Amino acid sequence: MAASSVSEIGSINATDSRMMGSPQLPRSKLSEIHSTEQTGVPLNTPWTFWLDKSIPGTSAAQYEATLRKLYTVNTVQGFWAVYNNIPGVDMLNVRYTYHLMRDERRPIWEDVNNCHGGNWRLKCNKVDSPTVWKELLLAAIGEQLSDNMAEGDEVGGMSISVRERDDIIQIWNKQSNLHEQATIIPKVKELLPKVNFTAVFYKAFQTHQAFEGQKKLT
Amino acid sequence: MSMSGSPQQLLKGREIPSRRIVLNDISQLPHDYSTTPGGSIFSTTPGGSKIFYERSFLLQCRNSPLTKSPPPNMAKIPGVTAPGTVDMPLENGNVTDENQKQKPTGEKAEHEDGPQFEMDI
Repeated sequence: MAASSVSEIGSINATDSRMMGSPQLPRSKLSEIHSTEQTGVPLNTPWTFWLDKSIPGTSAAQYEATLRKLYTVNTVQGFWAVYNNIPGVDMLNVRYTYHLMRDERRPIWEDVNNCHGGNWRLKCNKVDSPTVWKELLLAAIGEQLSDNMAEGDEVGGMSISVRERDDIIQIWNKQSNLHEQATIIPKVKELLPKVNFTAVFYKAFQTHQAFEGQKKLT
Repeated sequence: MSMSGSPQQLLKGREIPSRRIVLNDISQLPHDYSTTPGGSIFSTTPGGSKIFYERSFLLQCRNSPLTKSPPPNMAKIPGVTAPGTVDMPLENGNVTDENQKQKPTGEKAEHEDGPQFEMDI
């Protein structure tokens, strides 16, 4: 009995050392890892991380030139792979803005997906910004906000702008004429009951003086 | 590679039960044929139903091995997603020239007035 168990251990060790002998993963394993990265858990729509540095008084084209696309994510894991590996909102310098936009639409008023929309703006204390940003992103990619939008409307993106005093949050929607039916602000307050949001209001992009119309950008 | 308890496995629960019925007339459609309990309304969502995720599930995925490093082809922005000082001058939209010429030094505290978008309430 004792002898048989010894021989079993011996054979296991032999297999182990044979496997450990090779520093490389077998081809099948590599392709498995690759396909896991490709698949992950799919998001309802892709979302794109953007970064910009705002300069007051710039034209849409000038603003567009400061925009940097970080990455478009299609899966929950892809979202975290970016989120976990970029600086937190509290680490960004003043005047920088993170955006998470649906699909690959740009965080530009005149973009074809935004030009009929607008956004809600809220301010929050810097202390709350990291929590606010994370919770809003999770609600957005989890589509937890769709019930708070009118039928035919959708959340097109989220932005957080780092400023000297309070930070600015923007929630973009697609159809400004439907914004009054939305219940997004109560929802945000429900998601973040401890946060004191100030200066909450909605504005349609086309009513901004600087709005340049849809056709200026392609 | 051990993936026990990973989100992928959690998702692979079971299929939504469904059955096929032959209809001879539109009036035979049940009133709620297009709705998914606790889900979305198929008929209003082009291309099928929406995918919803609860906060707790999304947070579980945060620790997946796939999220430990950034996507290899993520944009490298010095000072943000890559080492180095923050470098996004581009003040006049002339990307390449300005990037080469003026490294960011004295141009930082220049525009501290006003938010990015006008706040005309």
